[in-house]
Amino acid sequence: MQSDTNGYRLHKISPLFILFENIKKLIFPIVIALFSTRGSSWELFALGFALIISLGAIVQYRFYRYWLEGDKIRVKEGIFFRNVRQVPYKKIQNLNLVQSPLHRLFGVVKVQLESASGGRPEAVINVIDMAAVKELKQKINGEEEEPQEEEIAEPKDSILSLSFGEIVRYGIITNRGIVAVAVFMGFTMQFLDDQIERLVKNYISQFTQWIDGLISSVQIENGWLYFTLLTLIGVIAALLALWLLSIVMALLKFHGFVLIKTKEKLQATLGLLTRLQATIPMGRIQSLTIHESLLHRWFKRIGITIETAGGVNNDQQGVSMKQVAPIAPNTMRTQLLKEIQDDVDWDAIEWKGLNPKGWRRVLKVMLIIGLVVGLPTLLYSIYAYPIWLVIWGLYSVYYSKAYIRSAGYTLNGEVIGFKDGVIFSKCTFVRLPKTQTIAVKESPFDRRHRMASLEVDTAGAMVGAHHINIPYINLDEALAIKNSISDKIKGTQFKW
Amino acid sequence: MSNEQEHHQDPTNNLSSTQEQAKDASLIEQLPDNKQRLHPDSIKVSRITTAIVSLIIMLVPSVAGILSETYLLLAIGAAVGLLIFTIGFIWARKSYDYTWYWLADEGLYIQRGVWWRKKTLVPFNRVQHTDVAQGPLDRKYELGKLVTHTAGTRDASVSLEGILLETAHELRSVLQEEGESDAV
Repeated sequence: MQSDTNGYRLHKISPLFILFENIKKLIFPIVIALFSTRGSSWELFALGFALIISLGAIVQYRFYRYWLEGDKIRVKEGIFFRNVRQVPYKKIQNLNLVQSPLHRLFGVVKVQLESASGGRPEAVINVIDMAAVKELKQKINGEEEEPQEEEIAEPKDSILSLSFGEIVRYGIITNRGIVAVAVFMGFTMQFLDDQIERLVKNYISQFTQWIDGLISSVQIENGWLYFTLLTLIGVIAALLALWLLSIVMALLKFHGFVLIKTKEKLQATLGLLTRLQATIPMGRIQSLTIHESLLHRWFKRIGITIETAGGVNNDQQGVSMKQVAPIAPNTMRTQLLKEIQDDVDWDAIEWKGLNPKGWRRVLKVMLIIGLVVGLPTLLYSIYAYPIWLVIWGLYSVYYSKAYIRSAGYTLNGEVIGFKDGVIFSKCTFVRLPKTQTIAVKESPFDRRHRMASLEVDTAGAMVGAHHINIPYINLDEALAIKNSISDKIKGTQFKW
Repeated sequence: MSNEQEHHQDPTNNLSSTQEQAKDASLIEQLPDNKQRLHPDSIKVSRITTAIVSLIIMLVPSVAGILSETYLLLAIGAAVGLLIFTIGFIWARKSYDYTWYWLADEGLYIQRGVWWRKKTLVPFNRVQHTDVAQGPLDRKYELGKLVTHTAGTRDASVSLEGILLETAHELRSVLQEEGESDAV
């Protein structure tokens, strides 16, 4: 199966998996083609498609080869357009293994290599057996590798392992079900709008009738009380269903989550049906964010995500391993941080507050938002608008005070951190050598109060994600922070 | 050379009085002595660009107005185009007045923004690569654009438009040299 000159081949079963991947990619064109040719000889078309893509898969498999050379991996693929790619081992950021139930059946695994180039994975090896994976890992991690069981990481020497209960909590806290439902709704609305709409309306009316029956058996007369009760029950039922969905999704993704540390790398194993193993070199972590939403606080939990350089930014493009600790007890916070980033002195973190006067500026922004957002209430009643403004005003005062009170930054010789947020509190740390550009920003409003904000850019940051962007600090303070970061990185080359 | 041109080239004359400078006491009062302005011709380039854009904006309602003989449409189109041009004309000068760049030990600084001001530091040893680009209008005035790329995301490329092509090349070689000498 392998020799040094001919390189390594994929596992013999891999045409099957390549076929699946191709079908996944082509499913929409196929479905559309089938629908458009329906009535004529669509069976023939389907057969033709199947034939072509299966043949394609086999040919793809025959033409795929990789070589493990002294300091780099060379991958050759392609039938008509040959593509040879060389990735130095040193440049490989992450090595991820994916194993679905079908993979397990054949004892094979899909390997995904990521470098810092961002976007797509640098090389995908689909599929090889465990022995080949071991060889690959040894090459990438340097020659010496202590013999250890790859598949089953021992929970006892792990940094973090999640029990069933923890994963259920994760499901409840993050409530990813909402996203799934939204996507599903959007999707179905696009395609089968009429029928689905009737179906959904039917279900809703059936559900209301059922509750109607329940309530009228308790004998409450029609009226606004009845309607509020109806909505209340509906909302609670929807929430429960969403939570259930979220928990199921969380279990599918994180079942058996184990995070272990081997030398300079973190290795996470997770997944119920499709097992996933991801390794992250700790030195390559660009930034680290602690999530502590209201629900997190109720359960006394935190979540930790990381950003690595480039890498794969979303799930569609491959496996992303951002959730280094999806959920953990708050008491483990410092311990986890020490494990994940052992070159930072986490006990020496001291928080400095923002400018206390900043809360008035937050309040002004909130009030303007309230004035605009509340306008539609005028359509309902002329009294609704002032009532809305009073409620919103009270909330705004609370929110702006709480925001300024809870937000803050920290800066020492090693790391800069920024935390903010009232309901969804987040806290991000960047080790100073990972800084790219530094910007001091000053809006006209900042200028009136001699304030400014400071933003630090890092590699691999997701757009819109929480990052170091410290608002409402004194201008001198912002400039001082900028100076101390730039002093720190002056003589150091950026190492991914 | 016209009078205006000379006026532009005098960097001290830009924040016309010391009073105005005091009122604007802020980020830009702390600029170092070796700060540089963009090339004054960049104002012209930016004004010509605005003129072209506003002409194009005027074109559609004008043609439609003439064809359908609704002269109100024509008037509105002309007014909008003129307004855009006037704002662009003034703004070109304003943004020139508030843009500086300079080199320091730690890297290249770019200060810009009239109302929302931003001082960006691109450290030498964080520059991945640099581009020098030149558009057709730039070519006429021998101007160019320097784009520095870092490994970052939000500020992954920081560009400096409206400097002489020659200056862009010089800056680029400084960035390259400094970046290499910093390599440890």
